Parts: sequence; structure tokens; C-alpha cells
Amino acid sequence: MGKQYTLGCVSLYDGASAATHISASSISIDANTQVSGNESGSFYEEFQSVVQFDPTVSFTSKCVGELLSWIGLAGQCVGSAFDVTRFDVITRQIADCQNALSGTPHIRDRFDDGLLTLGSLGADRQGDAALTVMFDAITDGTNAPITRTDGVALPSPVLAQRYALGLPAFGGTTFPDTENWSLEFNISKTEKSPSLGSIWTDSIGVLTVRPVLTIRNRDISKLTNALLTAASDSASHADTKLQLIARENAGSFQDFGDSVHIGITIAGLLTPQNIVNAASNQRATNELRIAASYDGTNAPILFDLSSTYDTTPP
Amino acid sequence: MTEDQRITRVLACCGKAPRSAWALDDAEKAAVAALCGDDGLLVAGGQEAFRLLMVEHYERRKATSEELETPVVGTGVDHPFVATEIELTPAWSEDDEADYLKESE
Repeated sequence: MGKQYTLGCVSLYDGASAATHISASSISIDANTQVSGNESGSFYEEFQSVVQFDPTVSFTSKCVGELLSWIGLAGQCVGSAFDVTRFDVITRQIADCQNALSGTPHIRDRFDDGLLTLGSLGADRQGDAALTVMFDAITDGTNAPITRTDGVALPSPVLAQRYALGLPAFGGTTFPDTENWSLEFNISKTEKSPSLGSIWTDSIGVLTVRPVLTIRNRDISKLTNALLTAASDSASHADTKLQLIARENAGSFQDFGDSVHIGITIAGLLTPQNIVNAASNQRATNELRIAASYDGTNAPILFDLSSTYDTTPP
Repeated sequence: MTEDQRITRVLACCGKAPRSAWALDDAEKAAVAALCGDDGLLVAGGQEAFRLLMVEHYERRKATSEELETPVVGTGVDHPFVATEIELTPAWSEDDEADYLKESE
């Protein structure tokens, strides 16, 4: 009988080689294998070679606080010399019938070197906040960028966190009718090319970080005539804040006064993008955008992962 | 704010994750925390000061930790990727190939 698999989890190892196992809602590992041909005039391809094998991982998780404690805005290198020493992806084998399999029938894909970067963070009024993380694997110069072990146990415990959309403030004004927001980190990296005599990439680095926040809002009066006239307003860490409220297992929310929630401040330029979007039988919305920027001292986006929930931000 | 909170704020202001503080010694912690203003943002010149502190920090760790100088190699490789062989084949002699096959058995 064949074997089938489903979503497992991801594991990050700290400098002491202690692993934290984090639940994910989707994981994809792409091989990015490139094959080149001879580009001759022959009718059929006559000479093919693998010229690049370049695994990348993309995963989405609701464990926003935990992941942001590992990966900063500027990314996080993975390797023996760094603060994150290893990254694993676990894929769980499905049982023949209804029960989860015990023992060691699962698959582990291990990465010892590479770069973790933030992809996007979004929060919606109806759902949980979700963070997408990218990983670019590289070789240590000797070994393949990925090693697969078929026959591991499921890690335990696997961390689960959930966060809900909290009250945000933009440019000093609270937006209680926010429908959703999405923060694209827009991190560009060096082009990956194989090291000489290899099909594996041996270096990766962050070139630029250009985060953009998009806010969809129900209260279209928040987009004032003054803002339309100026077409922009400044946003600073002192007056622009996103909040994520930590949900409680077997409850609703964790105590607002506990330092378990997430506060995110942004500096940049607030601009209107969509002034009114209205249709029959639907609530009208508009859309604002903040292109984050360096204020001369601080990173464009600051995460506070042990924040109390502020009912009157900023 | 406590020292730990100040350190976390400084790390965030410099684009780094809170766990990056795990290997700071007491003197480094105090120096990093001093870069945090009362508003939770960096003091003027904080970015450059932090960068210099981190350079010294990693130099200290390199000097005191063998772990940093010894690459961690993946263990328990049950199924090496096919790409390994594809990459190695053109550069190997027939003798190398024979040795490799013997070791694989």
C-alpha cells in the first residue's frame, strides 16, 4: 500500500540547538530545479543538464508572535554561526484509516543554511492574523542545501497561537471600522546563482526592505477632504499603530492588560488609494496605504511582541 | 522599562528579532539597553552604535565558541538528493567514481 502525507509543522533551532516546533496552515517547498538544453537546431533536444537546484520554502502560520520573535524585519540568517542554527519542515504521514500515526513514519526536510525573511502579515475582521515566511536555502559549500530523512517522529509540543484584528490608528486617528489590513514586507534579495562547479547556491542576502501597509476601511469619512487635498499625510511610530489581540484557548481573548498582545508601529507616508468602493447590497469601503520608510533612526516597522492591548491607540 | 524590554525595543528598531539577544553577555546587554530612549525608540546615533556592538559581539563569540567555527552538518541523511550525483559526476575521475560506489555499498 502506498504512503500519503499531509501538513506537519516547522521547527526552528536556537543557538543552543533547542528546537521550537511551530504549527503552520500551509507549507510549500519548491526545488526550483533548472534544466538547460543545447539550444541547437536539432529537431529534438539532444543535450540536457541540470544547472541549478535551489530549494525555497514558503509557509503561512498563525503563530505570528512566535515567528516574529525569531525573524526580524531585516530577515534572519540560518546557520551554525547565527542565532537560528537550523530550520526543519515536518510532513506528517497519513494513517491508513482515521488515526494519526505514532512512531516514526514521518518525513523531515532539514535546512542548515539559508535566510528566513518575512513575506506578508495580514489581519481580517472575521479571521485570524496570518504571517507568511519565506526561506531561501543555500549550501555550506559541501553539503546539499536540503537533507531529507524519511522516518522521524512528530515533534512535540507543537506551538499554536492565534491573534485577532485589534483597533488600529493611522496618523494619530483611530480606525474602529477597519475591515482588514495587509502588510507586505517587500524584501528583495540578491539573485541566487550556483557557486562555481556546483548546482547549489552558496550565498543569499537582503538588498532592500520596502514594506507597504494596505488598509481597507468601512468608515469612508476617515478619508477627509484635507487628506484628499494633500494626497498624503505623514505616519510616525508615535501616531501609527496596528494591534493584534492574542486569542485564548478555551476562551475568547487573553486579558487586555497582559503583555501577550502584539503592537506594530509604522513610520512612512499615508496615502489614499481607493476613495470609495460601493456596490448594491454591500457596505462601502475605501483603501489607504502606508509606504513605510526609515525615520532617520529607527527601522520602518517596529514589532512589540509583549504589548498590552491599547483600547485608545496610538 | 526593564533592561530586557529596552533590549527588545532596540533590536526591533534595528530590524532584528528579540531572540537575537540570547547570547549577549551582561556588559553587552547593558550597552544595548542604553541605546533605548524613554519613548521606546533608539537614541540618536543608535543604529551605528548597535552595529558596532554587534560586530564586537560576534567577534567575541567567534573567539570563545568552537560551535561558531565548525559548520553544523546535517545528520541522519537517509535519502541524499539525486542532484548530489548530478553535480559531482562531471568533475570526478573513474577512480573517484569507483571509490564513491564502494563507500555507498
